[in-house]
Amino acid sequence: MVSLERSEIISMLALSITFAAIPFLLSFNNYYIFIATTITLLAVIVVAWNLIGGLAGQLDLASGAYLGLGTYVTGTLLIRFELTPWLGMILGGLTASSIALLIGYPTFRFGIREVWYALSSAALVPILKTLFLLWEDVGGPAERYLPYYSWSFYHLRFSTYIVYFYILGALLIITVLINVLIKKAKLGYYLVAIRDNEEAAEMLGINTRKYKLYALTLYSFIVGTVGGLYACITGYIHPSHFDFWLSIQVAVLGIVGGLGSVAGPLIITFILGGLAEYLRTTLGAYVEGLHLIFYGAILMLIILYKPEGVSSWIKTIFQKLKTAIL
Amino acid sequence: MIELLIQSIFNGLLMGCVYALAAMGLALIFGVMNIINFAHGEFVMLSMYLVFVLNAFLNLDPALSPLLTVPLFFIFGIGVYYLLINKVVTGPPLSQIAVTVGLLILLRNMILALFKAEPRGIPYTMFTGTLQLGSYVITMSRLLSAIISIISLVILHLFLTKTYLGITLRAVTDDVEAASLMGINVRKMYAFAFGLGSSMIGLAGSLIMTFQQVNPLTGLLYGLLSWCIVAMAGLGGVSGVLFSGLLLGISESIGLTFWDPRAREIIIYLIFILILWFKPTGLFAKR
Amino acid sequence: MENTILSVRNIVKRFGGLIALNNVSFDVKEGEIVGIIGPNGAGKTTLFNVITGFYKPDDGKIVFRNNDITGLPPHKISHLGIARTFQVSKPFPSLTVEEAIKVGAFKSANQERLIKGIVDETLSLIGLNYIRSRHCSECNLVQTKLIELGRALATRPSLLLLDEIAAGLNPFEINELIELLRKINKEKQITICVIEHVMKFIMNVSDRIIVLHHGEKISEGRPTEVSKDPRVVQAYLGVVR
Repeated sequence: MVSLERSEIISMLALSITFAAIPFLLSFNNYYIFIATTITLLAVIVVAWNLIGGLAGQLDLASGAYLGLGTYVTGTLLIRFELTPWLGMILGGLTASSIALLIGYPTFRFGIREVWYALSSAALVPILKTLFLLWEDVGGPAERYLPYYSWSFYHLRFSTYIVYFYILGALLIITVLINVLIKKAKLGYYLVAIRDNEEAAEMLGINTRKYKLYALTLYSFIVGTVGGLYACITGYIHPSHFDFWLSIQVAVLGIVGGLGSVAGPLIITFILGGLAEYLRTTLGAYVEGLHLIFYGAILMLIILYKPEGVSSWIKTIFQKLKTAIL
Repeated sequence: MIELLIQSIFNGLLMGCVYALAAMGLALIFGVMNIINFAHGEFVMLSMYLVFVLNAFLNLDPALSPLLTVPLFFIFGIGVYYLLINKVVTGPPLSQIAVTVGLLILLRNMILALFKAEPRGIPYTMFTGTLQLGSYVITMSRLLSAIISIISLVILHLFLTKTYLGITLRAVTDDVEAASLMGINVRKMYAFAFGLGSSMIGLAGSLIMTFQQVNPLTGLLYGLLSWCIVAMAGLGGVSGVLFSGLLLGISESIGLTFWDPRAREIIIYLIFILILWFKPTGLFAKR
Repeated sequence: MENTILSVRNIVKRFGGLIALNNVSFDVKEGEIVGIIGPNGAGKTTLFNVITGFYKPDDGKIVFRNNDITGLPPHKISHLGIARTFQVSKPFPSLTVEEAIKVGAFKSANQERLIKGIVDETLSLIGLNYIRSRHCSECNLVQTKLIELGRALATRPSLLLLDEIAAGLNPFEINELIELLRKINKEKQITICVIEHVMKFIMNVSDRIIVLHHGEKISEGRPTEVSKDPRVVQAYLGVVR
């Protein structure tokens, strides 16, 4: 029903090939590949976030919660029942979506102000963190380690990060594809309409709550799934995986990159993500939380002075490239 | 068992008054002015740290600190309004949320950088001692804080209903267009409301420091509490906020006593979710 | 043609202590163009908001084509066949003109081909084909109003409610608009209900007029009858100092 333009297919292929080539470019250095994996993981979440934040226009701050839920569901099922994380990830995604619906359903009702979803989602991360900290049976303050294997596809454990990198790369391509397809379809149009003017949208026959929930469910499912993978990458589950700062980072990258665009947040993630990582490892040692102060300041500046984000700059660059090449 | 229940209800009532005061700042800014300040909890926390600093450097008793925190926070509120909020007050809610989220991150991490993670408290205050009522114990600091909170709320209520400035403030909320047609400088009113709300936060912070400690996560707690109260109170004005504060205080206290004292935030969040699901009347946009 | 398409009965709406609509009742017949006038604050937009589900009435009933739509949410009412425009424009700044209309068209068709057809047809009807790819944020007042009208039309309504669509237009634009509305009414067989302040516009386009004042219906009839009704004259003169 919805089809891709040639330029889009070319971009996606280019993206895929670049990703396939990255480990080679990094000469298989395990540390660099680890960084690339972390950034790619962040990128998947940011692109998924675009569905709820960019398209539907809801400031979601729960990505840390959905990720954490994914890790706990996948990890616990693996530890207790030796269930393969491939299935565990799906279940993690479903759990994340269920919780998302729990707070999304009442707050997406037509007429209820956006701030209530933003608040519930923001509070979800620290709440779940405390919950799992106190829930000795499944969580508790100590790390719970996943069974160790040096190579097992069934258990999704490897002694090198490369395989994870490729899996995440594939997930990224898929998520980008989902975004692109949705934007062209009815769902995409409806979400943008809801974001631009919810009342007008309702009057055009759009059940605003339903469509917002679609975006939310899809996004939370993806993040939950990624969470399962995250558990395997880190090798353990722990309440610290419920990271409020991840939620903030994702939202900031989404906003700075440009709400509704895929290219903007993606590029920004790789640039800022790398920068933040650098700040954290070098300066973070001196001033705790410096990279976050950096994020907070950027967010405020962008909203005040360039609220559409940098996607317009990126678009002009692409136009110039296109005219230059063609 | 019954004694435990009654004791926890007592405590809850006292805490509820202070919660109501802390939430009133938000209720004024959001409920009355429709301005979203995501960093509200951090403001409360900032006030508490300020009291700590005043005590550490000037030996100022937290009970006396309102003399400084109230005016300082009034100015702080106006400053924040003109620097950050004024530009986005007419824009989409997402901008207000996002800009104050940025403020939240900034405040929380600055505090973390300056004060580190360990809790800070004030060892001595003139609000010492306990009161014995039969087999029930009431701490003086909590009692006096509750009393001061209620007095402040009453004063605010009188201000909003009986003074020219207060009525003007409410007029601006009810109908911005009509208010500006009548020659009221709407922006100045917004700034004033923000300042006024912030000064109440300043007062609340001072009172809380007479009986509690503060750490970098306190912002989350008071943010959650305040938003929960605002959700419950809806458009109920000062009495609505007080009533919701008391209700929340009691529920939290009972939850803490009978479930788990470490689960404070979880209990409040659960109450919040319940309100979202079953009594969202306070959450709708104004018509 | 003589069927009643909309029946509004005893609608009461209060806001706090104020009564915005006090026992308002009227019918709209299929194929009519009905005008609703009244001084500022008479409750006209409130009435539209109640009919289209943005407000729930405190009392009364609204029946649209034998369906009781009282208290239904706006999107359901839209699906039953009512469309509206808003007094203060509600554009989609991120979308282009044709995309904005497409949003409305999705309700009327499922297949891409049909949707495109509706979009093209609507653009021709409202005369905005030449700016179909322009962003809504770059459109002027007239264009914005036409887009809002087009959006509503793309949902293929049976009843169209227009709230002060002529406000801010010059006499030439108003005449064009009158022509357009007559065309929509006759060719598309859409019943129209317009709220207006611009007297020339509403007197010319309406088959029948309803007058509201302080939330009550004070007069109803043909434009010539209503303009001579002493109660109506009093209501308007009473407000003008």
